[in-house]
Amino acid sequence: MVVELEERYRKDTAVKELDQAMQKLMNEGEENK
Amino acid sequence: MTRTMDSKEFINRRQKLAEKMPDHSALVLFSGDVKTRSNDDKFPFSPNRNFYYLTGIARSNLILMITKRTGIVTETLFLQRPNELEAKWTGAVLSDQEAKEQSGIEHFDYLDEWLQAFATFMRRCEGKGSLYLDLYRYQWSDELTPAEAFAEDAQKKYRTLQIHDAGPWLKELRMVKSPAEIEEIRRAIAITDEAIRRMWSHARPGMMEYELEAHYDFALKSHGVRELPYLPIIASGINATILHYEENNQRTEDGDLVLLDLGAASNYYAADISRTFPVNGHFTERQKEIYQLVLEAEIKTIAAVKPGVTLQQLNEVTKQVLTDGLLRLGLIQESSELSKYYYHSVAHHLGLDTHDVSDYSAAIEPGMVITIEPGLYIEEEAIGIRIEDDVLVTADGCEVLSSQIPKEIEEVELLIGKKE
Repeated sequence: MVVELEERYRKDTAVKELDQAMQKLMNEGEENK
Repeated sequence: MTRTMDSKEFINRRQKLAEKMPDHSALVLFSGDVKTRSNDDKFPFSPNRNFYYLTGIARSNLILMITKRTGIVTETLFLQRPNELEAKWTGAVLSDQEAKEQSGIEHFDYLDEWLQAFATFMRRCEGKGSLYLDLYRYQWSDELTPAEAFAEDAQKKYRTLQIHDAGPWLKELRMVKSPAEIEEIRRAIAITDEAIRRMWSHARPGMMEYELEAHYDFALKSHGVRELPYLPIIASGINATILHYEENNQRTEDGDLVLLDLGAASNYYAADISRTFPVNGHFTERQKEIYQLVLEAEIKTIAAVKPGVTLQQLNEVTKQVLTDGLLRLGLIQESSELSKYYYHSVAHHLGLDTHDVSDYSAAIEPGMVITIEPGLYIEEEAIGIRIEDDVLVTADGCEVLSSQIPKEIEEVELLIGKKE
């Protein structure tokens, strides 16, 4: 079963977008501490 | 599935892990729970692979705690308390004797005592304690794991507690396979081989993809393989250009190629094999051209597998062969166009997970098991071809663990539709 280039995984685009959005939120949370 | 590993295997793994633990630290791993599918219906249980790696136990609702304090390592497995009524519904819980035989762990307590045991450890550490958990999360939308929930609670209760991810330690251990692990992968491959041959022998044009899948399921279940490492891909015609096609619900047509990407498992160790075959038993000249190019890329990439190279470098070998071939065939005019027909990576690690724990940029070492799987996907011609083998890295190169599964054109053609 194939994986993406430079990755151990594959992720759906929607999942990637959600991951990125959550990461952004987390980073903003860290900055506001 | 017959157990093949001795408890010494798991004792050895835990010893290696404990060597990495700093003083005043605790490692806590949860086996996981049974997930609800709908209403009161459950998914089959599948253990947390790091828990399984260290214990060999595939039972739900167990907790492993390893502590290290003043150099002394203590292992405790927390078990469910026996319950006569519950046993009448779902069977007896794991006994301490069974757990000891499987894992080699000597000390047991009940689950309702484990928070107290952790509190005792923390008290003895006098504010210097650190906690290691499996904090892996595939995606944000996944529900909170028991480890994450415990991390939150523990941090609130013990303000000075340092919480770390144990993932890097376990990844380092799991990436290099022991002889016993390699034997498990060989067994998974042998079952996969039998399943592929069964599918080939029953194949005929007009068959539904899921009918082929039924033969695959039959072969696996006949060997006690009831949990698949991943859903099989059985993709005919243009479906084979979808990399992770899993519907398997279309009718095969005379002249179609069928791409198989599937694998059995032995005690959770996965095989991962791809083969592509003509459903009528005969490749067309065009299909042969493309197939031979993918096969050439696979053979040359496997020849490049040796200690010190990275998966990225292996992918470059694949890309070079495919680029040269596609230019020769006139399918592309310049090398930058390769990504139109080849758009994934050629290799990944294989083990307790199909896409096993690994570091993509790290050089491969003896004892690692990887897959090599080039492919070409030509949508306008409804051709998708992938050929994948499982490969053990050795001191001076590699051994193809799945070499018994035919992949040369003449060999494959002879096996299609030839059931007794």
